[in-house]
Amino acid sequence: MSTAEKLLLALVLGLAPALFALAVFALSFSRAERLSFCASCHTMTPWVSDLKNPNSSSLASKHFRNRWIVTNQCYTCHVNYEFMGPINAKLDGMRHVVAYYTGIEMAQGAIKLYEPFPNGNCLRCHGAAQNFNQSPTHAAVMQQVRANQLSCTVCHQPIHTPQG
Amino acid sequence: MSKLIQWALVASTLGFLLAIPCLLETTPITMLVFFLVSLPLFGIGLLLYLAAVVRDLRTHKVL
Repeated sequence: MSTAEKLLLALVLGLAPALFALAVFALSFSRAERLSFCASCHTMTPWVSDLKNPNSSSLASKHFRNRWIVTNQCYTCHVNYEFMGPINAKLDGMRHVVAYYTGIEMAQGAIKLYEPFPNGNCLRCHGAAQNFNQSPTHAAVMQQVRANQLSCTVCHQPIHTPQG
Repeated sequence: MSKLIQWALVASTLGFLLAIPCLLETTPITMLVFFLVSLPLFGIGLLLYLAAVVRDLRTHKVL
C-alpha cells in the first residue's frame, strides 16, 4: 500500500468520521432544544396541544401563547440549569425512547417528572424580575422559595393541562 | 487491502449512513440511532484501522 493510500485511509477512517460526528453531535444537540423535537414523540402530543390551545389556563400555555419564552419552550422550563443539566436532559430524552420501544423501565400510568420541579428553573427568568421581587406575597416566602424549600408550583397551578 | 481495513471501511460507511437521518432531521429516534449505533461504528472503524496499522508495523518489524 502506498503512502498516499495510507494517508487517504487515515483521513477516511479517522479524521472524516471524527469531524462528521462532531458536526452531527453539535447540530443534534442544538436541534434537541426545539419544541418541534419534543413534539415529534407522539406521547407528548397532549402536552403540546395544551401548549398551543388558546383557551388553556395552564402556565405552560400562557408562557407559550404570550411569548414569555420566545423559543425552545419545553427545554427552557424543563432543563436543569446545573452544570450537567443540558446533558442530563438529552440523556433522559434518549432513555425515554429506549424505554418506550423496549418496555424496560417504562413508567406505568401518567407521565411524571423524575424529581420535583426545581424553583431554579423559574427563578432563572423571574428571579431578577421587579414584579417578582416587589410582590408582597413573594416577599413573605422569598427565602423558602430561593432555597427551594417551597415550590413555585404549590401556588402557581395548573402547570400543564394535557389534552387529547 | 487487509481484512481489518475492509471491515473498518464497512463500519465507518455504516456509521456515516446511519448518521445522515440525524443530520437531515433530528428526532429522538434519529438522535438515538446516531449516539447508540453511528458513534460506536465510527469507533470500531477507527480501532480496526489502528489494529491494521499496528499489524503492518509489526510485519515491517518497526514495532
